[in-house]
Amino acid sequence: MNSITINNLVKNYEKFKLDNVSFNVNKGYITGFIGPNGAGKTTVLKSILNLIKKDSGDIKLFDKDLETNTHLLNDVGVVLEYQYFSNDWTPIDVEKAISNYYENWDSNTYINYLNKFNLDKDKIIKDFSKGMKVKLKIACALSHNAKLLILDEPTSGLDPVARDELMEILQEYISDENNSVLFSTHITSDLEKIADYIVFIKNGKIIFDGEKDDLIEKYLLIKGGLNSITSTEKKKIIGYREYNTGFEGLIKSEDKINFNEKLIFEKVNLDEIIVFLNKEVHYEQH
Amino acid sequence: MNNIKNFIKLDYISIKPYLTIKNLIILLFIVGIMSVSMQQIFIIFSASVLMGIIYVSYTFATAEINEMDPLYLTLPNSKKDIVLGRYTFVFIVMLFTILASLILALMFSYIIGLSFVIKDLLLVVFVNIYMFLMITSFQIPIYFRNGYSKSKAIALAPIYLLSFIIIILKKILDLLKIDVNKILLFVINNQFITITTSILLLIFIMFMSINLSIKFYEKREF
Amino acid sequence: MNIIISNTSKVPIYEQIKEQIKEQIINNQILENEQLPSIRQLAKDLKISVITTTRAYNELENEGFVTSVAGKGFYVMPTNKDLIKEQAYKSIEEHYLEILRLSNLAQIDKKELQNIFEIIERESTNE
Repeated sequence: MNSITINNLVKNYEKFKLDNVSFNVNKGYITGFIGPNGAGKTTVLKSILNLIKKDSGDIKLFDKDLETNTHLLNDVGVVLEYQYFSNDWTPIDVEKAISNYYENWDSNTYINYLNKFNLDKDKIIKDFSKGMKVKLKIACALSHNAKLLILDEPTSGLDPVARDELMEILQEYISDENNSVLFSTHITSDLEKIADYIVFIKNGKIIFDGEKDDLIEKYLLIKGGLNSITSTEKKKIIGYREYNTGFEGLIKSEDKINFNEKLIFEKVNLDEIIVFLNKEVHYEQH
Repeated sequence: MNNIKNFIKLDYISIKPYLTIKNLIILLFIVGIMSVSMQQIFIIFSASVLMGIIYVSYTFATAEINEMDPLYLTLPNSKKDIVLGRYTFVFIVMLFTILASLILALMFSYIIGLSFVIKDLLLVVFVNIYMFLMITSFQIPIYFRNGYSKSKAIALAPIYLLSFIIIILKKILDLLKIDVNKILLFVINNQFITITTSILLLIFIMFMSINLSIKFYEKREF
Repeated sequence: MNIIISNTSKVPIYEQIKEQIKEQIINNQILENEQLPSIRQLAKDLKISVITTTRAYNELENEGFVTSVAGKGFYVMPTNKDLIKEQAYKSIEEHYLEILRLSNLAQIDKKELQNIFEIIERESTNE
């Protein structure tokens, strides 16, 4: 069973649309949802949680329709970019306000996370820094035995230490194979190591959906001096970038044989994939 | 049912910061001055009802400023639960304002030395509950439809209108050549019918209000 | 069991894991019938994805170095001398191909290659 199934999701806005977005979140794994800003990540997540209405398409949570099964949210931990909590609340108030909603709220877990994140349980949220607010949301999401975490930019506002801490928490979370994570971010270095699957969205369209290892192995970074390639070869390079000192770009790994082997070929990371694919205006879906 | 109880608790925790001793003292002060200057106890009820309506608007205002609707919506409850929860909270606010008014009325009646008739008291309580529920029934669907900031102006309209009418009520009646005494006579002679019809009307309006709110909130996007 | 991953290496991570485990099995640093850490535990320890460790373990199983027991995990198979030989053969073949390619490029003939081999052999036994 997939934790989330999305089929042909369409949502139209004036200047933007989600165009037949389809992908699944596999149970037991971490799915990274990446793409440039404005690509539609948040819109998709809002559609999954029914915060906005889809124009057409089908979304299932644990194989069920959320709209008619809102109790499913018992098993879903959410971190979104809204403020979410009242500025006048303390973490204790937060627990008072929401714990009764959840069948499996675990107060000890919540307090432990507050301590682990150094969140003063009697301090009002208005006095929290951006990073502390995110950590509070994360603490809540992890304190009711959720089977699915839906996280939208959970690392924004977190310093590298906190980000690393979160990655560790997520890996611990996923060591139970019944748990799943959907993690949307534009800071891909976090996902680089721990994501199992990657869904890549650009301009409202899914342009990659598969194993992270496959995505990384699919491309190579190519570099060389300015005169070392022909113009026909240039066309095969994705996101071609030229400098005074040379050029660089992305090629499909399978295309390597078509190029002069004296050029430099390097393993590519997710950030570079996003940047170069983003530069490629006419990039076609594979 | 549980989710409605949970929502009431949520709303209460959201409003709590505004239920301060300071606010209470200010209220007592204003109410004290009004009842002394008008030599009338019943003004306390109107003032409390007004406060109650303001607290109702606080629930919506707090939710909007703090972006709490997504919180409501990602908790395991339905939009319908949220709307019903809010209405129930509003009803409870109403009960508290009436209770507070009764206590204050008795207090001031003793302090200032103004007496009143029980029957008049009952009538005042009835009218104030009625006004509270009627006004909020008009306001709440507007709040649910547009959110607090966009509704502020429209939602306060019934209050302004009503206050205005009350102030120049006598003038209006004279202008329209309505004989107040005739109306009062009719009402006093047909108490049962008048009261029953007004209650039925109120129940109808509240029912419509709740359904509209649910419909509007279902359509809202965040 | 020691596993050290290099993020900058050209070798895919799953392969690094595979080779390091293999080597330790062959060198008896990991013993027969020993249970390997679970797929998810290893992923957590190495801070890599579960799919990557799964792939490493699956390939180890395909190559006969470990076996999976349903509900329990992966266990090291008795080191099969033939298996080791087979692995070594494969590796040596690949290296020979590379040597051949290089010698053709530089036009070094078979006799010279033989010489080089004997020199190296002598030097390594002297060390």
